[in-house]
Amino acid sequence: MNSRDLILNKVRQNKPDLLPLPILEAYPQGDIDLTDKFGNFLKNVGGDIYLAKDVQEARAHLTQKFQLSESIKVADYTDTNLFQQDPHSFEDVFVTIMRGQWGVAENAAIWIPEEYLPGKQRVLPFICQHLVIYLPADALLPTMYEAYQKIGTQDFGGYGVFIAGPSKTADIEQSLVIGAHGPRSLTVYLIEKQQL
Amino acid sequence: MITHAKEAEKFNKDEARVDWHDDTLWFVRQKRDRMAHNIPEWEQLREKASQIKNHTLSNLDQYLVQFEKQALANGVHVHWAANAAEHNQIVFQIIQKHGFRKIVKSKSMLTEECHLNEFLIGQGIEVIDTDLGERIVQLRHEPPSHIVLPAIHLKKEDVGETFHQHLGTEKGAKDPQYLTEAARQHLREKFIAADLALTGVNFAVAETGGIVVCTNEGNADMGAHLANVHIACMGIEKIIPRQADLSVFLRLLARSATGQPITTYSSHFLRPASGKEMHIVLVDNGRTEQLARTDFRNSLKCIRCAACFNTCPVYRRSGGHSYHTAVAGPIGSILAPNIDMRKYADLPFASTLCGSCSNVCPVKIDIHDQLWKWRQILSQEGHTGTAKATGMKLMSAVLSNPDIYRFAGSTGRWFLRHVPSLASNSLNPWFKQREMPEPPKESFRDWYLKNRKKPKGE
Ligand code: SF4
Repeated sequence: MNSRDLILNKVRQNKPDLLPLPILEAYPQGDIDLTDKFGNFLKNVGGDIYLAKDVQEARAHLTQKFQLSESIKVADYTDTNLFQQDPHSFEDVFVTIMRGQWGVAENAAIWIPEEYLPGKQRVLPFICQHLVIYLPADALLPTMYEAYQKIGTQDFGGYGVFIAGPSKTADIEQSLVIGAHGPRSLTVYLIEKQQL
Repeated sequence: MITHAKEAEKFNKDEARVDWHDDTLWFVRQKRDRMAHNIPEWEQLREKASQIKNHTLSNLDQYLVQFEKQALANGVHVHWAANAAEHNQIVFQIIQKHGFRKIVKSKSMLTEECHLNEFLIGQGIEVIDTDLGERIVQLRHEPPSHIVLPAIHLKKEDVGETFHQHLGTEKGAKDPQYLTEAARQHLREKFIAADLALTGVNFAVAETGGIVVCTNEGNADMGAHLANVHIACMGIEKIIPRQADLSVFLRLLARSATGQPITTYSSHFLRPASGKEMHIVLVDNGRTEQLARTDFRNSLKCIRCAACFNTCPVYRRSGGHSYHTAVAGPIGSILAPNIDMRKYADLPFASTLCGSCSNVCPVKIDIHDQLWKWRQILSQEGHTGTAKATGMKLMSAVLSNPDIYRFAGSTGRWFLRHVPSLASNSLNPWFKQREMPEPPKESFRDWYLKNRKKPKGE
């Protein structure tokens, strides 16, 4: 017998009688200001947050913030040339700019489905030195429960990720260091006008 | 024979370090408490998580089949391994088929359990652990001492010395920021050069065939998205039925583990990127036997958050290496005897049975009850040393007879007050390295009888 059938047979023999699968439910979060809560959590996990009227305003602000110039490599979600490239070629990307679909107030996690990744390049939010996410101001949800209701089981592409803050580690004596393998900073722009 | 008591004795030689270890993990435990207390529905979430896992175990064969079917439909290769050796062979064959030489790994306790690294390195493959804590212990040729904080037994001076030797950092440098930056540069090169990335799995969704990997550093994603081939290795108990179940588990996992609201990255892998290859290895290695043990099967609900480690007074003061098994701490002490009763007979005794582990466990495993039940079995099967067996017999005689219990209690208290040195004799290993506590003058029962409100008429 192959290992697959062996394992499945043993599970069949050894498992307990069927127990019920519970129904998932929402837990009312009371009267909370989602923007406030999201912003506070984002700051707590090492992120930066700004409110922007529109994408143009956000872009102008981040150009200043990161002192972007011709010589600095930026991977932007509007750039259609990114699709065909070898992921290794992004090694020197300084800033990745992309959109987020949902933001979760209870933990500042932002949901990114594959199609929101610049050029559908999965490595881009990780390999860059700094990450920027545009998030519609009305895309905030109270908890992970609501987030998974939105994500549903419809196809989010081959890959999707919740990102909460910049990459970090505390593996040396529990001292927090921002910028482990991934970005050294995360900047989120909450965009007022839904025009992403 | 290696035993927890002997190894713990070694760890306890450096008292200042033990105190630091103890305090640091207690601090993590307190962060966990603050997070839990901020979620009014915390207990409901634990109950939900527990029920989902109970249900899954009771229907595991069907969910495994469903998961496989979905994963195959997603273009993912699925492999089954009955034991550690088969798991290692499967991974090696994939590497060999492509003629690969360099692999990067993110954290996977399963591959620790299977001793994959030693095996692959023996075959001439370069294997680089990329989680910072794991890289540190790998360079030192040590196993991780904690499933979430692999290098928690080390001080920054130790890391500084290791990095000085291997990564060329300045001698004597110990600033965590500086050392982390050095590791970042070193590991970037490894990520870029790797042929294949191996990751663990936190959750595998039967409904979609997808897997979820949680990290703070981003190392699983750096590896998996750059390499041409991604292998994800998982124990068969990692299955959950529905994608939406993740909402329950992701709310609990990081809060229980490190007191964070969620890990920085919760990555959902469904299909390989175009032109790339993805494999999932489903591993049994004793799990189906544990499933058969009615008293112990629900240890398979574990989501490896390590909250039970951080809260355990014995773990905090004996260190992970003293458990001489890949998964240490209270949960490891339940899992290990299932695999080898003789070798790990000491572990269920490495506990005070205080029950704190069961209280913090996000999936409500009755950890301390199971430790106690293992003790019964191990004693019956003759796997316990003489000292513990004698103590156990006395204990069970004492505990099963209320009159002796009361008498023994008050006698004990009298002895402790008047001849404390007697309790520290060699028959009672618990008192090594410990100051005897000030014994209470009366037992709770005596106190209660004296102080309870007398019902009317008595
Ligand atoms: S047994 Fe519970 S507390 Fe311990 S690691 Fe597993 S899930 Fe966490």
